[in-house]
Amino acid sequence: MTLTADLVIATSVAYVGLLFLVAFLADRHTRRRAGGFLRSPFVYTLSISVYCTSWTFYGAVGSAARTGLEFVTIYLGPTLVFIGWWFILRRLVHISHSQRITSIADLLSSRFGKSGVLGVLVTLLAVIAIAPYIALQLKAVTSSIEAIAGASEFGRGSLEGWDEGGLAFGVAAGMAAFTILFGTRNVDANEQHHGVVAAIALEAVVKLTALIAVGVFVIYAGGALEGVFTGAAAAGIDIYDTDTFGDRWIASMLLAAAAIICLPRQFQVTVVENSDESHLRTASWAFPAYMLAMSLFILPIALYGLTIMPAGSNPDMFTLTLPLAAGQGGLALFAFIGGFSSATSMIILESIALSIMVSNHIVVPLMLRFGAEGHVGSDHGVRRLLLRARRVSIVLILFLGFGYFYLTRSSDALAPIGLISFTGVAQFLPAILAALFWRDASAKAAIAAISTGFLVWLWASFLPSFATSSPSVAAIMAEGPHGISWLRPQALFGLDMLDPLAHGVFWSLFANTTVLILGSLVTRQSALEHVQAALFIDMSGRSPSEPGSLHGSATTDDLLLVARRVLGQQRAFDLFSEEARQTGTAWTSLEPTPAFINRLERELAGSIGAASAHIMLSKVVSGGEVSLEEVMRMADETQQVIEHSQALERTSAQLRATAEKLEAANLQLREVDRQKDEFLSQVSHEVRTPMTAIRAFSEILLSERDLDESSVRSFVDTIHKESLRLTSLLDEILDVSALEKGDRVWEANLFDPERSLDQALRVCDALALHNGTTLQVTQRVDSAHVSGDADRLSQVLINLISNAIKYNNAPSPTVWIRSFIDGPHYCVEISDNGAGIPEAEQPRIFDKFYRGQRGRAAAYAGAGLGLPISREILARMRGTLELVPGAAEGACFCMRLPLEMDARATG
Amino acid sequence: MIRRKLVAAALFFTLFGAIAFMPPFALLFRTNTRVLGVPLEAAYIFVVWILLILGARWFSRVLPDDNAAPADAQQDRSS
Repeated sequence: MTLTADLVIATSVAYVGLLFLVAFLADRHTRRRAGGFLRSPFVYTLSISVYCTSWTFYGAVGSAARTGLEFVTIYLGPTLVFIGWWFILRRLVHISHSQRITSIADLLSSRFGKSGVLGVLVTLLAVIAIAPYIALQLKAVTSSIEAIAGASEFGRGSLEGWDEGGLAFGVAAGMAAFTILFGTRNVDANEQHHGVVAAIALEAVVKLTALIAVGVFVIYAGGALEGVFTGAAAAGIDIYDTDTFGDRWIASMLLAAAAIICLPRQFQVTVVENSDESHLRTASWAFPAYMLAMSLFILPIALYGLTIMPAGSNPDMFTLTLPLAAGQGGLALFAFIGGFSSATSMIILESIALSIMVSNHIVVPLMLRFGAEGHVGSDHGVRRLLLRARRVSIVLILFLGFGYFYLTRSSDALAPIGLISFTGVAQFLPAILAALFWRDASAKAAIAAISTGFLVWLWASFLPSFATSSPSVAAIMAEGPHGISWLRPQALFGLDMLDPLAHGVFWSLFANTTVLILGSLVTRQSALEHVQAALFIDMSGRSPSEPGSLHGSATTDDLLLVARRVLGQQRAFDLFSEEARQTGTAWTSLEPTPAFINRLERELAGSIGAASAHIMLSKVVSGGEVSLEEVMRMADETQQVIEHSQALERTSAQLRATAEKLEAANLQLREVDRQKDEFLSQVSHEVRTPMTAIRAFSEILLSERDLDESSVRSFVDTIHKESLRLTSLLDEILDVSALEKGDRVWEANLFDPERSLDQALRVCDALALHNGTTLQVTQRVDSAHVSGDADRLSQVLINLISNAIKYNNAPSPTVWIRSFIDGPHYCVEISDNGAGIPEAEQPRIFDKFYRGQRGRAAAYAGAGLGLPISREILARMRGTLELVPGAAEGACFCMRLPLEMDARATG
Repeated sequence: MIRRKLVAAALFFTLFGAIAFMPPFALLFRTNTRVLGVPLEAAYIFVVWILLILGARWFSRVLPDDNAAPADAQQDRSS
């Protein structure tokens, strides 16, 4: 295959056509379905690899040929940033999503109080700093075409008469047209350029396979890896010549790490085009792996080129010239397409990213300031203006790059040009890190810091690159301006022992950071800055309340007008409809709430940047800025501390309450323990009395042999009685404990309680007669039905009636008994005309072993378990036993049992 | 606790990666030796690079899901 310049140009055009097709299909694909394959983490990773430009493809080989291993630093820096994605990139992506950030200028402007000045500054500086980088791509593409044309026996073909500058101009013009067609079809940067990303991903695959193909060819031709290295060593090429791990190594690694964050196009693909935050997870290892694959063959290609190519050939072009020299036309064409891919992807994305910044941060604010109402008046005014601004800025950016290329065309190496750009954009790094991590960084300090860093960069890095084409610059470099030697660009303050790159990086970043820190310490933040800082630092996004940055009166019509102009009819309509649906109000009566204005502002920011959106809405929404109190309420740290301490207070109050409950429970336990001890001692006491009697009498019987018959009989009688008492006492104790534990099975039968009362009266008649007490039954129920145990109820009634008889010491003792129905209850009331129960004793009469004064005095003293047992029995039958104030002066007990309703109804 | 330790581990992994790539540590491998013809320092850099990628792949799977991350925000506030 014979390569000619014409064939190469035709192939490039065809390749561009293919990219177009891919972008078009991808756009249509995403529009029909919601993403699919195009939104996979791997396409995302491939799009990030736009980092590997023709600098990598051609320049890295040149760099390896000149300075050995140093080229890898350009990939090691980003590798470290991606491996540590959790700490910087994750926050960046998260914040940019929640704040709808569109570019790096937007990020800084938004964080520092939606500062318009900062937006303009960052945009301008980015455009200037990127110019060398674009020049690098133009130079690479031009050189690669020249290399093929120079090697071709058919001469320059249709390139006849074009010098290098003309060719570069042609390439720049072509790229500008291409980018405009590609990237400025829609306005909202947040709608994301799926088509462009798909094309970039394809280019990433093409450049990787092309470079690997050349690498495999070199390894094959050079006789394996060992052959290549030993061949180079034999040819007298020693990579130990260079000072590999020196100051340049550290400086370029730092620069590359900064660049992967700060380069406008990297911000665009990594942050803005990110459709899912979790994709970063995959990219965190896949992108370093991609860079590793790209770097793997750089050193062998460079060494092999140095070994076999004639002295004086451009090492930057080895990737292309090695296959050409070996007569591998097809491989050379593939390599050319690979290099072309890496250049076009960079140029397209970089100029899209920069043009968004220019239109959002320079054109729109200007339009707003000079009240271009004529444009704004028409519905599509803002959109058309934005698109036009973006197209113009793409042309401008490319021709700035061309201008730089033209002025520095005599310097031959690619990599140093790229490093100048890296040092320029690295000036944004301190401000970005402050934006993410330092709440007190202020806008004034950020503006001063970036300006300072940039001035140092202009002097120490940018200016020296013109030394080869401008004698006056060369003079300044040698002697300093007006002979002031300590201002020499590459030896500021006499620091001349550093490599020029490390020198520029050190002074610019040192000045930048120092100004940022000192400036933030001495300046104050505005209210809006304060709010934005809080939003950025508390990245969880749950600020106390949505910080409505704009408040006040605005009609829905005004807002709709603004929205329509910027977002277009359809999207504005959708936005308002959704709001109407959410609030449940009709379109016509839609009230612009602060939350809605805030949301609208973020939507607008997605199109025209935070600062412009803010200005635009403030024009409509009167009432202007946030009130100070509100700012304080929403974002002040003190407030957060107070809230935090309140939360702590609440927790400790809860703990206190729990402790109190525990203490109460403990007290209760101790009381129960005490009662148990008391119970035991009472039981022992109760048992001891009859036991003592039994023992005493039996001892008498045993020791006195000559007792008369009647005494013996009376003693035995007493022993018998006491043992009976003992037995019944133990029975009662068992009974009460069984009742309390509730482990005895209860028969629940329906029965007539009147029969139990009859039985009780029969039993007690004898006792009443013996005591001379009159039993008077004053009222009886015919019949009733309750559920429970009839014998147990008799036991209760006998106990109550016998108590009333036993403890009645009135002259003519009388006990009244009546039973009656009270609502759903069957009741029995037993009262007497005795002395009654003293008020002090009333609360304790149901306690176990409690016997009142009279009880203890009475001739026949019980164990004091009767009432507790009775009450327990009734409780088991769902009834109650109470001491009630009776008609007579004596005691009056009333027991109640629930009537069985069903039984009453049926029988 | 596990979450905080994982995040700390990820941080130190990154920092040690940076240290491994930089002098003076990298200077240890700048000896005039060759492995299969490849200078030791080049082989060293690429091996560390591969290890870092493998480690990052592991971390990308085990680092906690972001949506359930209130503890992180509190840490940030205190810093």
